[in-house]
Amino acid sequence: MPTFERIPFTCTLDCGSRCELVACLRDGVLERIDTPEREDTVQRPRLVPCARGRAHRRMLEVRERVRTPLRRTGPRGSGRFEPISWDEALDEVAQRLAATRENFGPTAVLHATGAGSVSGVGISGASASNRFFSFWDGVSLAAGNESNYNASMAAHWMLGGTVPASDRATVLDSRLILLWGMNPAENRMGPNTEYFVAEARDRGAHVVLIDPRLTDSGVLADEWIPLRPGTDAALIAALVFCLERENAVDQEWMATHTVGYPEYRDYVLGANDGRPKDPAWAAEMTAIPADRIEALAQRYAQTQPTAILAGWGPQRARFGEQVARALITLACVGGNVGVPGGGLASLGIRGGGVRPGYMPRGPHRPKRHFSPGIWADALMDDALDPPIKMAYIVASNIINRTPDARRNVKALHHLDFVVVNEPFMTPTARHADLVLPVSIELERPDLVRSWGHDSHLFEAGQAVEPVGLARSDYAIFSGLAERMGFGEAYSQGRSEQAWVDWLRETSELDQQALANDGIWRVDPEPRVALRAFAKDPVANRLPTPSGRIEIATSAATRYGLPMVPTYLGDDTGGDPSYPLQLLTPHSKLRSNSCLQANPWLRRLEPHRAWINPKDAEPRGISDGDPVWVKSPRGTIALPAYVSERIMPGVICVYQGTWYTPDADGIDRGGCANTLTSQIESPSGGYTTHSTWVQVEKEAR
Amino acid sequence: MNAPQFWVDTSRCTGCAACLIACQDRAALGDSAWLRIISHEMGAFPLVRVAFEIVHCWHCQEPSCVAVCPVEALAQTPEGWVRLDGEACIGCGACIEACPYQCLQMGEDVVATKCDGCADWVAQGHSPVCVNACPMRALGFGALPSRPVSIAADTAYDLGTRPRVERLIRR
Repeated sequence: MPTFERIPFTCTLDCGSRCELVACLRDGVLERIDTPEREDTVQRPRLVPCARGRAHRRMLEVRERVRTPLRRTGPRGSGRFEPISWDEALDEVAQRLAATRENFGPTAVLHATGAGSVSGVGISGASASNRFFSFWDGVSLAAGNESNYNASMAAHWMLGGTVPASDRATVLDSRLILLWGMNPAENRMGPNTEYFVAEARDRGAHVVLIDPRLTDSGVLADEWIPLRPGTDAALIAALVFCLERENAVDQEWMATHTVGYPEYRDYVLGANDGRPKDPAWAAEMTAIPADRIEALAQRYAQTQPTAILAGWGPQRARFGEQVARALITLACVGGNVGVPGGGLASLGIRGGGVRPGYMPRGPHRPKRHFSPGIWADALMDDALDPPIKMAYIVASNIINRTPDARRNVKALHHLDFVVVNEPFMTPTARHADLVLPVSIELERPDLVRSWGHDSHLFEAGQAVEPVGLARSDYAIFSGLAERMGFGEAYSQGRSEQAWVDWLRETSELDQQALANDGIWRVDPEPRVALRAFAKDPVANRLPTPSGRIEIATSAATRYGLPMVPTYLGDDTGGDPSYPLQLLTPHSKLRSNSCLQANPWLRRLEPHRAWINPKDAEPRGISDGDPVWVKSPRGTIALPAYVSERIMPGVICVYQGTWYTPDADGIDRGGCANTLTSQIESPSGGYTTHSTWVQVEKEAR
Repeated sequence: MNAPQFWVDTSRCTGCAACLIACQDRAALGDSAWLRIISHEMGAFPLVRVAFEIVHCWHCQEPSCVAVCPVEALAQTPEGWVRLDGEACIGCGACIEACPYQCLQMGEDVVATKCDGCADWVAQGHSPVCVNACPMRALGFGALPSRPVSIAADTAYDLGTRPRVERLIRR
C-alpha cells in the first residue's frame, strides 16, 4: 500500500496574500499541490490560492535554479561561475565581511533586502539576514516601502498614522465599489478580495473600474472609466465640485471630523484662482468626458455606502501624495468614513491581526539607511564616508525590482564584493561574486503571518529536501555566524523547526488549529476603519495635531506640497521624444520578479507591451509585432499587444520579467524597470508610473 | 450517483488560471495542460468588455470523439464520463479532429490525452481539482449556485454534442 502524506504550507512571497496550500506526498515523493476542500461560506471563506501558489511544484527543478554555491569566474554579469563547496563559500563571505569592516568600518557593508521572502516570514529571507546583522554590527541597509510610500506619508499627515484600511469583507455591505486603480483579479492583496467584490456585486453593488486599463478585474465591473495616469486628484476635485454644487456634502460632519475642508472647497470651487474644478476642467486632465464625470459624481452622491478600493499604483507616481490625500478627502465628503461598506479601504494595510513575533534581534541596528529608490546612487557615491564596498543581498532581485535597472547594474559593478542569497540565477545573482543557493517553500519549514488584510498564521511545513546543495537563509547565516564567532548567539542552538516551534509557542496560538491543518485562523467581525472616530471624534481623537482628519495640513508643505490635495499635474513629462505614459503593474504570473523562472506560469500569457490601436497604427504596429519601448534610461524589446483595453497615450508593461540585455544593451527580457526612473516624489516615494516612453517597431 | 455536471459562471471568471495550473499539476502532464483559457475583448475604446472562457473536456452526452475512435479507446462510463484508455489508444488522432472544442491533444507518448474529469477523485466524494481550485467560485460541479445568475440561453458551449456544462450569466 502506498503511503500518503499531506503537509500544509503557504507562499512566502511578497504578493500581498497568504493562502492555504498543501503538499501531497505519495511514498515520500511530492506528487501534487492541493488546497483544503472544506466548508466555504462568505462569512468564513476558504483561502483559495492563485495560479502562482498552485505552481510551486514546478519551481523546484527549473533550469534557472542555483544548485550549489557559485564563485564568479568571468567578468561580473557574464554568468560564468564555478561550483564551490559550502565551506569555501562561507569562509570567503566571513573573511570579506571581516576585512571590509576592518578596512572601512561596518557601514561599508550594504545589506539589501526586499520583494522576496520578506514580509511576515518568521525565519527565512530577510528575517534570517536581519537577525544575522543585528548580532554582527551596524551596517548600511537598503530596504523600505516601495509599495505605498506616498500613501503612507499622506496618511501620516492626514490621519496621524498608517492608513486604517477596512477589512476586505466589509465590501459585502457596499452599494457602490470604486476599484480605483485597484486590480484584485490579478493582484488579489488578500486571498478573497476579488471574491468579495463579486459577492458584493451579486448583492446589488454597482462596481466601477477607474483605471487606464481594462484589467482582468473588468470582469467584475459594471463600467470602466479610463483615467489618464496621474490625474486622479483632478477627477476627485471635479467629483467634489459636483457634490458641492448639489449641496450633497454633509458640512457639519466635515466640520466636526476634519480640518481644512473649507480651503480644499475653495480650491475646488475656484475661489482663489477663478477656475472652478468642474467636470469640463477635469475632462481636459483626465481624458474622461465631462458627462461621465457628472454621472459618476451623481452616483457617488446618491449611493451609500461606497467603498473606495484604491490600489497602490496611482500613488506610485510623481505627486502620488496628492492622489492619496485626495482619495481620503473623497471618502470624507461622500460620508463614507467609518461606515460598514464604506471606507478608506486599501490605501494601506490594516495591520494588527496575528503576530507570531520574529526571531529576536541582537544588539546592533543598521547605522545608515538608504531608501530603495536611491540605493544605487549611494553605491556609486565615493564621497560617502565610508563608501559602500560590499553588498550582501538577500531575498531581493534588486537590479530588477528597483527603478533604472541599467543604473542598478552599474552600481553593483562599483563594488569590491557582492554576495547574493538566491534560489534562482536572477539578474542580480548573475552580477554577484558569490551566489549562495537558497531553499524555497516546500524545502524549508517556516511560520508565516498573513498580510494585514487577514488575521491568519500559517505553519509552513517542509515537504521535500532542498534541490542540490541549497540551504535555507537561516542555515546559511547560522554557518556564517559560527565562523564569525557568534554562532551560539545567532542560533541559540535551534534548528529551523525548533524556531518554528518556539515562534508558535511564544505566540497566542490555538495549538489545536495548527495541529489540524497548519493554520491558525481568526475571522473577527469585519473591522471598519475609523468607526469609533466617525461615531465620536471628540472621544476618539486621531493622533493628528487637531485630532481630526487634516485635509489641509502644514506637514505636506514641509515637502513643498500644497496645504490641500490639489492636482499638480506631472512635472516629469513634456519631452516630445517620449510622448507615451508607461504603466508597470504587477502581473498575475509573478510576485515582483519571483516565479519568472516557472515555465507553467510563463506559458499562461506572453510578456507584451499593451498599446491602443490609436497609438499602434501611426507607428505601423500590428498585434504581435516585435517592438521597442524606449525611455531615456533604456530600451526593452517585446511583442506588442494592440488592444482596446488600454487608453490611447498609455503603454503597459507588467513589471517583473528579468533584465536580459543583448550585446547592444537592449533588454530582451522586457524588464519594466529598464525604463523607469529613480526620481522620487517630494516626500520620497517611488514614481515608477511617471515614466514617459516611445514605442517603435523593432528595427530589423 | 448523478451524472457529471459542470457549471461556469461567466460573470466571475477572471482568467486567473488557478484551475489550469491545479489541473496541470495533478494530471502530471509536464509543461502542457488539459485545460485552456480564452480571453475575449469586445467593443471599442472606451466601451470595451473583457471576458474569459474556460475550456476542458465537458464529457459530452453525445461525444463526437467517442463516435470516431476506431479502437474504442474512448468510451462513456455508466456514470457519464467520457473516458480515454491510453493503453488502447493507437494515436490515430481522429478524436482530436472530431472534438469541436479542441479538448483532446496528442501526448508525448503519441497517444491522445484529455481531461479525465478527476473521475477517481469525484468517486471518492471530492470535487474535480479545477473546481476546488477556483478562487472566484466561478467554476462548479453539481448543484447550481444560489446567485443572481441564469443559464445562458444561447448554446455557445454546445456544438451539437450536449456537453455536460451550464454556462451561467448575470440575470
